[in-house]
Amino acid sequence: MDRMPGIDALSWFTRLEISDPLIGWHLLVADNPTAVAEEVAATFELFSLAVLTLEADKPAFEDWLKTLPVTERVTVLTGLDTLAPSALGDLDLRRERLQVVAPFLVMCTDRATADLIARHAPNLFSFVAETTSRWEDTGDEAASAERRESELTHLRSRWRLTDAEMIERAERDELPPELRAEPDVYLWLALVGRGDIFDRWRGRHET
Amino acid sequence: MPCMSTDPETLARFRAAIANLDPTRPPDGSDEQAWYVSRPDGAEQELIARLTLEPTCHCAIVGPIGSGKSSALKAMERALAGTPGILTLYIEVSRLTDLSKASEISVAVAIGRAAAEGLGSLHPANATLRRLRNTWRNLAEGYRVDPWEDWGPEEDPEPGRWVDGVETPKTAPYDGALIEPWGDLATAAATVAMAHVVLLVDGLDRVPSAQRFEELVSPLLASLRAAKIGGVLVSPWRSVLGADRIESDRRFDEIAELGPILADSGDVNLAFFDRVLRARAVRDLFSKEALAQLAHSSGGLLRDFVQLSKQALTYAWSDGARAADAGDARRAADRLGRGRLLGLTDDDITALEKVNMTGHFAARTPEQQALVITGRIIQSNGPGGALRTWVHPTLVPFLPQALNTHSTANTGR
Repeated sequence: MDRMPGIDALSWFTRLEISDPLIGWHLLVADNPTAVAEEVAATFELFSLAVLTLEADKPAFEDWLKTLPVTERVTVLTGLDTLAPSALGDLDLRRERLQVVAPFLVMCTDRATADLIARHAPNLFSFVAETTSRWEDTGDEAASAERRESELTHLRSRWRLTDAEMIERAERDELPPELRAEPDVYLWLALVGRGDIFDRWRGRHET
Repeated sequence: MPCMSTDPETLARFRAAIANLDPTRPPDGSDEQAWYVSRPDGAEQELIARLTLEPTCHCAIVGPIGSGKSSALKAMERALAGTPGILTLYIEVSRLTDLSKASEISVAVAIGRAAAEGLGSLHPANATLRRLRNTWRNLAEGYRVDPWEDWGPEEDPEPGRWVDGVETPKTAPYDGALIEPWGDLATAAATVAMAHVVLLVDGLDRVPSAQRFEELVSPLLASLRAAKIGGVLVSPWRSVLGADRIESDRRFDEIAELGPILADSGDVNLAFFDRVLRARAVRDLFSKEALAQLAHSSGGLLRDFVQLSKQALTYAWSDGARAADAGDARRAADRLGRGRLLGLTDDDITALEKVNMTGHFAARTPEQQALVITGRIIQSNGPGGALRTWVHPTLVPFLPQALNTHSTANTGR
């Protein structure tokens, strides 16, 4: 993996309605959608989920929609920002084809493009209105600290462990197998600045 | 670990429920067939009655995005399945052809080919149906006209002339009115299945203008009428809204407008939403209060109800609860409202404010029509036919804020 997922991606992933089968569409609105797409892809790969990243403004995307290959992978779609409103309208007409090839789809755009999608691809947008998330780097340190503490409070309450207990168990590799695969653990360790434990874990359990 | 939600059984139940509540799930699996619940306003029942008595008539289903048009079509398919003398064929046209590039002939051939395949699959060994499938396949993919083909390869002096199909037109494709192939299809159905064909065509509601819809479906409907094949087309609402409405009353014998199903109007409608959750085997994961809140917040739009239910369940699971309560439903409504703010202009927000204050709205421009089509403004005929108008319930809390700060609104996390 080239890039470790950050707290934003892990936090989003922990709240993601992981369904079985993997299904659902999401719209992520960010100032830098390309970087967010990379981070999202890295997060899915961390949990051993295969990712197909496509750019909506490239011929490969057109071919993909034309040939309708069956895939169970996560699809991360970028490049919507460069499409003209008429092209977004065309995408709206092909919503069913998108459903066939991308049962789990994450679209990453900037805010202006998200507005255009809502206006020019209303049918497609109707499927993501509830799952739209805005990733905004406000630079507000107080707000970030508050959010970090809020996340930690939620995790401590949910798992009924202190930060120290979680770190201790993770370091000793004493977490039960089902918990090792929980996104919560990765988020927790990232929030307390112990992302280094990720790598040791991966090294132990991938070999 | 002590957390409730890591219990494998509970987690499995939530995961299955989340999958069953996904609005993007393609409606073609066997499970999904059972998900369709008849509307309490009887909108599709009127069409079913009309088609039962007059199987060759042509009907349209229109309504806002997410109002349950495809669901109504599926409910009709199920209801008509046991009707003597009627053979329904459900066709999702936007999966068969790229509607952004399609011509009227390619749409008609895609529908005809799918109908022939559907009919043929009922009796795979029947020679008449095999010929019918070949005819429509040739129209789609192209075919060779060879007057010497019966002579065999050695005696055949010429390879014949190739006629392009509509899917790959390099030269002039078939440009006939398709009267004969449609007639063959109707005759085959009458002979083999002793039934009238009724096509249930989904997906044409995405066509962005009334004029484009008119161009695409007029030749098709004329051919179907000539061949005495009935049909129900899910159609764009723009085609019956505003000044540029098409001559729908001439093209269609009946138009069913699917309005919102207002949970606040009584127990019958709330029972509808209860059945929707039961049909998807998730009812036990929602409290009674959550059900009422979700139905209210959906504005009576089926897709919004399903999306809200899914999100409320996600919140419940995240908090370690065994079922979603009214608080989870309100959180889901807040999130949907924030999402629905995307794409709104200052004029749109002014219009929403006005509707919220006055309860009146006349959609004259395409932009104003879009507010109705996307369900941000909801309209419904009340008792006595009086038109009621209101803002989608999830948007109302944001209106005062949105007027001042909507450029910074929408945080989904």
